[in-house]
Amino acid sequence: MNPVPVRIAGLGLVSALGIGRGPVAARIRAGDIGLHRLTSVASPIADRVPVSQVVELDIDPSAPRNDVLATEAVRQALAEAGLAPRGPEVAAAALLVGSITGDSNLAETRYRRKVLEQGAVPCVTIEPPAGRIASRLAETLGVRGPILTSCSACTSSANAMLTAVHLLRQGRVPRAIVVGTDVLTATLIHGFDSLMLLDVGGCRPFDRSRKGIQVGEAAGAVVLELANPDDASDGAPWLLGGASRCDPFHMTASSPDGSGAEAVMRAACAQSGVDPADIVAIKAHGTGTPDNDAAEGHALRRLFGDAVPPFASLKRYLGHTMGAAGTVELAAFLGCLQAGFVPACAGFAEDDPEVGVAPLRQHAPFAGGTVMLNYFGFGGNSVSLLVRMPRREVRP
Amino acid sequence: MKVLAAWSLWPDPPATPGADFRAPDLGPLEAQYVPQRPRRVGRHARLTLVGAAACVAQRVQPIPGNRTGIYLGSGIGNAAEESLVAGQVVCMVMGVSPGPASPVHFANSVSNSATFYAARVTGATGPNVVVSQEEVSFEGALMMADVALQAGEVDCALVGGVDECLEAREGVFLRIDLPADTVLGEGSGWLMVGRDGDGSLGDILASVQIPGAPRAGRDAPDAWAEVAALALAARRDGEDVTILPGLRVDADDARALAALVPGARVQTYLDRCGSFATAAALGIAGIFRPGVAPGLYVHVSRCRIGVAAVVVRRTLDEVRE
Repeated sequence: MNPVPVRIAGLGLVSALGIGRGPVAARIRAGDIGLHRLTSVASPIADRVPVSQVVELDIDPSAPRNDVLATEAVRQALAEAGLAPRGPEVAAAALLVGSITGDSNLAETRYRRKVLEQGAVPCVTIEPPAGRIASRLAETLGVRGPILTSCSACTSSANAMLTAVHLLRQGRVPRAIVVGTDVLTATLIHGFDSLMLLDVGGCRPFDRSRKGIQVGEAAGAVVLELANPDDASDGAPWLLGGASRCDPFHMTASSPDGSGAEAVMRAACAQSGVDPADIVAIKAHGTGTPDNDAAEGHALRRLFGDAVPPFASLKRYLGHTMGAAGTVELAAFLGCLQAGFVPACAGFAEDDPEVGVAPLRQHAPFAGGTVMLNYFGFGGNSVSLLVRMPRREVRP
Repeated sequence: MKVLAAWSLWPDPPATPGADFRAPDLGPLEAQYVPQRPRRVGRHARLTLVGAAACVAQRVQPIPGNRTGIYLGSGIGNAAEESLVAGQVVCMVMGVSPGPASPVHFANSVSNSATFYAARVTGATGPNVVVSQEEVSFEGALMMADVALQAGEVDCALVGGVDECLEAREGVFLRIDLPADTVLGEGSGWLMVGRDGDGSLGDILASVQIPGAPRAGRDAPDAWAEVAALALAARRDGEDVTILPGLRVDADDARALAALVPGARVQTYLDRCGSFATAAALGIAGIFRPGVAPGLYVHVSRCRIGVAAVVVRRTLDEVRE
């Protein structure tokens, strides 16, 4: 018997491409890209490396930036789900956060001030880690259910969603609020620069000339509750389940033959009761690094053979939003599907024989069905989720 | 959840009264449990690796690799390496020191680098999750493992709590709310848990978060009543009950809770390891150390989101070292 599906009752999105999944989907349809000059972080490479920075919110530099992004994303998700902050439904919910940057922007500011005053003294001024975001959000929202923060690199909020699914199915909570949030920091930008993993022209997922990632910041929020599997009229997307695995090949790269990514996709299908042949579209992780995209391409071939469903990466639209990517890309991808199209893989132009498969060059019409969303991260973290979208009429 | 194995690394008592507790030299333990230790990893990862590998070594049966998850709780995470990298970057950006951040240090400063290496060493290739929920991070990791086990996502889970005592004490106090004169500590506590299994050492009977009551002192009657109800529901006839007060649960709190569970005694442990965000891992894994009596144990700790309670039964009369 297939597990009980989980209803996606509300979604919220704050990104470099816009606020709210509807406007973001419209910009993706128009071919816009969320690339901006870096202004939220002092950096000597700001002029030559554009980033996916949130520009539509006026954020006080002394504020915990993640809180601002996350609060707006949660506001949207709760509103769509018909829930009020501090109301009884929210109080009974679980709150799960996925983030890796926490209050790091404040830590860097504080240390910078210290260096100005005292010179290059050792840095010990790291601020509280990501868990503090969840504590503050829980207090603001009046959440009294379980509160958890997952800090598992770029799968952080995807892992949080999987745990939320389990909590719901086990009857531990009636609903769950899952938030992914991460912000740009100097450490993040220059850390990836030191690894020579930044593409200064913006990322080009799966393209033959791809050179690296496009760092970004964003927050995504999702309200989950158990679905009624007999309710055929439910117009909401259903999260069917997924899987999480560790591919212990290398700290910063997945198995080149795609076996690690294949394993998590197969496990996700098995645990969700989905035949891979029924998947109609895929949101790839598609970072734009040579190794990640080749491995993911091989994995898709291993699982689907010559019948790889239409797929795309959203990273050029939104940037690589680190631990937030789970909920952020879920919201953006579902926004596009609900608007009737599978987005093209922006940044892709030329096939790469090393990858072996090619993503969508143009938006494709979407009529509903089961879709897969992939997330991979440092440390071999791999998560694959499956979502069933209601059938819809395709307009020419 | 069945407890299939447990292992805990306790710090040495400080040479000077009032000084912080520090873990012993990790070299001999690494030689025993992690002969292929990865190069250039920091102390947080070394504490994690030793703990995870030693826990696996306590059990004769091999773990089911891709059906085993690693769930690590850490309150301050990989703070030492994060600070190092952040310092390098900010100084470079400000032009007060040359050169880029070290790519190796950046990669190893990622929140889950320690659990990646733990997966490599132990062969546990299921979910690999770091939970950093302030001072209930270990309890959070235990909860995530429990839901994954019940969901059938894994058959076995390695659940750890690891925090290091930074040389710069101010770095710790920025991350956890404790008085500046608190004696700090560090450690690595691990449980291997499963839905079932031969030769188990005991059971995790409940692991819950109770919201509210963030302050220490006798201000948490509802929370203590809820914890007491869990203990009384689990208690067998004539079974000894021991209250283990964890972080931010003071003597008054512990007495208030014990008063609600007839015959319960209070046993402190923070005085043997110092205070750190995941001290609960030592308190709970320590229940399965040699010489500890069978019975029901109730561990409670507290942070700004409320009280975390874990109810544990040790069933074996004795376990091997």
